[in-house]
Amino acid sequence: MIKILLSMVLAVFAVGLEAQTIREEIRNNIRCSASNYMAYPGPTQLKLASAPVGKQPFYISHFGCYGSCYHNGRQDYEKPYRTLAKADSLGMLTTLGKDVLRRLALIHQEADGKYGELTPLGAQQQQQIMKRMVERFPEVFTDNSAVDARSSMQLRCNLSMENAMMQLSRMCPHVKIHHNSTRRDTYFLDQQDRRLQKMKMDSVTTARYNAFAQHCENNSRLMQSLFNDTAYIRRHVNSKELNSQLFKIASNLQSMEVSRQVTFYDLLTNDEIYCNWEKENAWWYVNYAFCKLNGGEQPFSQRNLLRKIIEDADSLMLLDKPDVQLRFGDETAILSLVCLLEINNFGLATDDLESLDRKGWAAYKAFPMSANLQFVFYRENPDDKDVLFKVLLNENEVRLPLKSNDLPYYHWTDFRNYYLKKLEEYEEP
Amino acid sequence: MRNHRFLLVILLTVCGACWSVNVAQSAFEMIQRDRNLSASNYCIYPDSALAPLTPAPEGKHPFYISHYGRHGSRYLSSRKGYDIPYNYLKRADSLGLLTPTGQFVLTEMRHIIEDSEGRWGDLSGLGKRQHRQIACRMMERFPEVFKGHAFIDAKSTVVNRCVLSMGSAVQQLVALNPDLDVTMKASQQDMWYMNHQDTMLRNRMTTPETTKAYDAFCEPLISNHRLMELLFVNPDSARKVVSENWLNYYLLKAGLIQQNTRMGERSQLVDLFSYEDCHCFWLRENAWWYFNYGPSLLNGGEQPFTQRYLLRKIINEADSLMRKDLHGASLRFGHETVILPLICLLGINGFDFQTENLADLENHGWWACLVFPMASNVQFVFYRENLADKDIVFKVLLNEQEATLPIPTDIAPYYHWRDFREYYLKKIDDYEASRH
Repeated sequence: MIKILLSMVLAVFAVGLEAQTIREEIRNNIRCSASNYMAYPGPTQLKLASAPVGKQPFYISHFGCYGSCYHNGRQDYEKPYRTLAKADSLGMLTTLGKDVLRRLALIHQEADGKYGELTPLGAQQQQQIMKRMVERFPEVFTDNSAVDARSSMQLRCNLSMENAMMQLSRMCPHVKIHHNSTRRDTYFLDQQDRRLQKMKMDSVTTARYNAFAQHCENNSRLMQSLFNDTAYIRRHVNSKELNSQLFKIASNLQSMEVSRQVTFYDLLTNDEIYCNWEKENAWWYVNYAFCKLNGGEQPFSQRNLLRKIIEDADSLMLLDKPDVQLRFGDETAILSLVCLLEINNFGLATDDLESLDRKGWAAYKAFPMSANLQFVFYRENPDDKDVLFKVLLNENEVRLPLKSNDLPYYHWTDFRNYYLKKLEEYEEP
Repeated sequence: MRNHRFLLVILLTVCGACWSVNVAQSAFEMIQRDRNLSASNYCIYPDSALAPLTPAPEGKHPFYISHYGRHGSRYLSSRKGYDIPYNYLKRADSLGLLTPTGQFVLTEMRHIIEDSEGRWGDLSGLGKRQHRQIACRMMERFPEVFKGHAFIDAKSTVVNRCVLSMGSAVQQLVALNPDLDVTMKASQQDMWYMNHQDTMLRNRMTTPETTKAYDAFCEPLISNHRLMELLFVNPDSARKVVSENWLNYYLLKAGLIQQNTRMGERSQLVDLFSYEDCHCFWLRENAWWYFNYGPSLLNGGEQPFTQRYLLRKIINEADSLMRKDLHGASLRFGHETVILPLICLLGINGFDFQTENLADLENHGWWACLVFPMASNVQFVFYRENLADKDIVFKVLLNEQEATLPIPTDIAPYYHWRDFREYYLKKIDDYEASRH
């Protein structure tokens, strides 16, 4: 009885969470506003659906993004520092401004020489994800299992993979691990599509995006809190740039050790944080999702990856041993892939950037640092022709645009048919 | 006397590394047993039974290992090394100058290039196995260092093959002891000592003196008329479109690196070359490494000091660790261009031998191939009675064999850490003070 009551309460709570608007969600958890800089929150779904009757997991196919890392360039830290330091030397900073300058120095100190690299938290995220994968699907990680891990050529991807593999080796010392990071795999791990790249921000899209972002460009309150002279702000401070730079650092702080000592979120009001998020979120939508403004094709940049996932699964099903394939790449790849798969509401196609919040399209739900997709396959035995699978996005079960009588499970044949057709139609219109 | 002792060390090293059952008297003899051993920095790790270790000094036990290892077996770094012989052969083929053997070699080069395409510089499967096995033996030989929640501070240069080497070693360690407390790092922040680039010393590598001496040394070693006869129907015509010297050099080099990849079992390129050819190649390579990374007097004898930061870091980290009640290992993964000068700087097994005469190297046992095969490594293993023990002793293993240092000791193969610190810190300080 208690169990039933508890599950009812949990269900109501879960519905409550679902019903939250994104603005509310961000207010409740400011970290969400960081979009791709959000540190991995871990699974919110604590209990997964039980396996389909009579079947058991035998194969996991995964794509994951590198863990929490520092910003890519010295400039990300130095530019805002220089702006504030110059003002400070002229006596133009408020007490808060001076304190922000101090905090910036601390933050830069940690990131210095490690631009773009994995932070200790990033390494930890990868280990924990691997740990949960093994704990949730022990049938797949037997002494007979083979694990094939591949990472793109980026250092942070490679180290993310190595952290995951270390954890795996710790828990399953007899699993046969193959790990590699080679240019040979970039065609699917880090596909670059010049045609799609060019289409991203054509002149019409840029104009529409800029018009949308316009309402987020009022930074006067923030500027006046940092500088003590409005004339100085007007003449010497590019407030739009400085706001973006500070927000970018604020967003990434959650991935850094120094976050135990400093925050930047006190510099911004809830509305300002939301505004910054809205601008960033729309940018991600335009560049990586089915945005109608630039042709609605961007997610197809991950067609090689999706095809590889399908082909690998088809091959692996023929084996009678459990198998795991892990792939480590970029956040841009996972966002596009999630859109291409139309997971939950990520297939949204619109030209109305203002509707994204209302329609629940929030990139942070797809690609926090260490974001990952896991396809978990089930069968009765190697002769079972009706292979079922489910998809976990960031370790939570998700929906695909396919029919199923056994949610969250889908028939692999339905998946193949639907997505191969989708890819073929795109490639040969 | 010193020379005899020195030679003995070399012979024991070769023997211990099981590169041959018998003791090699000369590099030529070594090559006669296996032509692949002429590959210099492309040699694979001598992964085989090891000579037994000296028991721990009485009352002491190992508590810390400080290590620097080269990445494991890899593919060729760029296609240039294959393109040179391939393009020569292709050009000769278009003029109808290839013999059936020449045609065969052209096809083989094509297969090799296809196999390497997209894998330039990648760690091979063998490279990963080498690091797993080295880690496994390290743990088996010094279980006290790796017991319980021992710390493992693993660092790699930012090159992918080094990260994968580190990952392979770490996977093996945690498979054997899941309680290990491991951190892995590969960061630009550590490159100042993990792979230090010294512009001043680099600019002094090649001087008119080194060029003159090296050219003169190589002069009798570079041609290969037999190979020309083998590959071309008319060698004289072929010489108009093919450089005999470079074809000889790059074709053998292409053949020798295959031992590091799956192609090793398929490729027969090395069979085109006689033991004498391989020995000539070995001599050239050895001399090249000597004046570029060794203590050659031709260019001032200072090149090994490129690794002064690494040595200082090894000393500082060991000093800090000794004051703590901790046990574990600092593992560093990098390159042969680091480990070779480091070994020379340390004077391990006589690798601080200085000469102006490149022809002296073989007889004096200055064989770079003994230092830096793929996955080569140096391990400092530290021993103490307890935390209060002020007389910390250690030994050095070069490629897992006990090695000698040029400092006095009453407990060989162990040395007193305080003697080491004093000697090497002074050596580095003196160099830095004299640097201009």
